[in-house]
Amino acid sequence: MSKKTRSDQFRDADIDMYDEDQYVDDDDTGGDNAAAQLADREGRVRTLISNGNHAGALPIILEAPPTGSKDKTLNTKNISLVLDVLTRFKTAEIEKAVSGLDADQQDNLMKYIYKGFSEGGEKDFTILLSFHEKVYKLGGLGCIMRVLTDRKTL
Amino acid sequence: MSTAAAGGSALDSYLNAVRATLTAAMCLENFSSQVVERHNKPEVEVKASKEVLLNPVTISRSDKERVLIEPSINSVRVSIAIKQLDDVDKILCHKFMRFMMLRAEHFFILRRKPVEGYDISFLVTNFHTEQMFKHKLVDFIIEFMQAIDKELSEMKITLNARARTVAEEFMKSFTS
Repeated sequence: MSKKTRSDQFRDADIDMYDEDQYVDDDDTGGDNAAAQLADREGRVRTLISNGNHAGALPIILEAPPTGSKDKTLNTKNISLVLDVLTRFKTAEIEKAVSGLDADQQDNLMKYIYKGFSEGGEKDFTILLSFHEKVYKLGGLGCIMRVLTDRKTL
Repeated sequence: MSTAAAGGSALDSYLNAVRATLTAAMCLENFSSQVVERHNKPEVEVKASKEVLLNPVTISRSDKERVLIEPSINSVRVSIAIKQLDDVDKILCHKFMRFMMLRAEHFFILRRKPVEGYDISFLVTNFHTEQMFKHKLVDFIIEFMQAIDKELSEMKITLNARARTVAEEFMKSFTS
């Protein structure tokens, strides 16, 4: 057996850390006013929901998801609000509501749908499945692809 | 794209969602390891470089029945959780999946071990998509999901029928 003469600790060093081309996740924090904006939006959405106008609430809720924010509670609150809006839809109303959205809103909706699937729990997934079907019909594979590749996850 | 009937039952929309997501996720290309020279590994398994992994997505039908799709640049891992309502289902499913995974090399894309929390996993690499048709691979997974449910319920029925016959025969010895 050869005797170990030198230290081999250098092998454990993470040299990639010092690489200038090292890939870093973008992290654009929404800032302090993100919380205020979300709270304001939640208020508007809640009034629309209580009036039974969930179709009107859908485009509002799909604008500018709080992706960059560090505050996890903000995010979970927003997701549960979106899922709350989505579950209020009847299957027959979905197609009309989804076709009124623009491409970005459809992408965001797709993100929320997948998020809703992964949340689990005792929720009924039938409505999410029919949402998925309709958004896929309009947005196509690109819509799903953008969910898969987007670095700004919910 | 969707081949299922226009009836739009929950199962159809579930399978259509899985089909659409799989088709999107199965855009694979040859990609050598960035960490080890002259190696070519499925990136979704080694998870060595973050930038080649895509966002994993789940599609659920109920809290017991769901599919996890983890895409990466050169491989996609598909894990299926099969509906199990009682302990008989659990045993049957476990044994059946074990039977198949022991013979994983015959299925090409079957993974030898399921991902934690799921019953069975597939690993599709760029070599599979180069050798086989992509739409056929997607079809295979969808068909597998349909067949497995049918197979398991059939097995359960057979098991119950057998148990009833056995019990009947056993009880006969007390009546005569």
